[in-house]
Amino acid sequence: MIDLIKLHKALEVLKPNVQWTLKDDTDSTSLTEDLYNNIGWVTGEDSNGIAITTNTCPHSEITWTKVKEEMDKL
Amino acid sequence: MALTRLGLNQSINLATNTTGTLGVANGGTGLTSGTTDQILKFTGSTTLASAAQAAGGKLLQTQSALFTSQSAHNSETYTASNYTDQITPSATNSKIFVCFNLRSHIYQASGSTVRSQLAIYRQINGGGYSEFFPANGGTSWGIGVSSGERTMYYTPQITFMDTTHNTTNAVDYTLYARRNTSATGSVNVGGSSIQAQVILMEIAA
Repeated sequence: MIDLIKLHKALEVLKPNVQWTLKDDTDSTSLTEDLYNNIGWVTGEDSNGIAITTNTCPHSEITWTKVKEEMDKL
Repeated sequence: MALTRLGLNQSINLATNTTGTLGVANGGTGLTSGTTDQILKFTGSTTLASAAQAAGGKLLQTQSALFTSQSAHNSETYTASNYTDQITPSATNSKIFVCFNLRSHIYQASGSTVRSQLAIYRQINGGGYSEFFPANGGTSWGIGVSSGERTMYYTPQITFMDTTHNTTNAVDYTLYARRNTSATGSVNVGGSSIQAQVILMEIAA
């Protein structure tokens, strides 16, 4: 499984306070593009207080390449 | 009374050649009949009688699920974790004992506070999840410091009794997590090689 704190740090560099969620049940210890594409980017909240998410990143500052680059620096 | 001497290799037909009952003191029951679906019970030191069976236990069924996955919840609104289990109650008025054992950890690079909120969401018959326990607010934990990077690990156990499911359809319980609205940082559930378990027990009313 990947280091979620490391991923958090990388995303904070690219877009501070960005809201996201990720379920990781893989054996991989490094972020893969497949896993990156499973990140749920929070776009809102429903009437039950549950986050509305999308797997298509709505933030132009964040791309797979940039996240990978930041992760590799850590 | 007619008496017959038995020879070698001869036997008595107990079904036709005996009368009366053999008492407890001689290894019998002292009974000539019993009552259907009842059991034998000593009503005295040498007396047996038919008696109703004892009532069954209160525990009707159990379900459990084990997890080693992890999830990140860097959101100010609740998002679902992988930790979930389902039970189908056998009666509408039974109670469901719910137990989540897990590890959670939080991280913050700087700032004054980081807090995690955990809650169990319930779904009945696939009808959609809503927050169930705690009914509002969530189980909050975290740390408040003046400055510096911090990571904190915690192993919460969330247990409660569901007395309101009122259904014999499938009931799902799932752990949801979020970051407190006044906090920054990272909220996570589980971790590499960290086991979590969900236990559900249906208890008769």
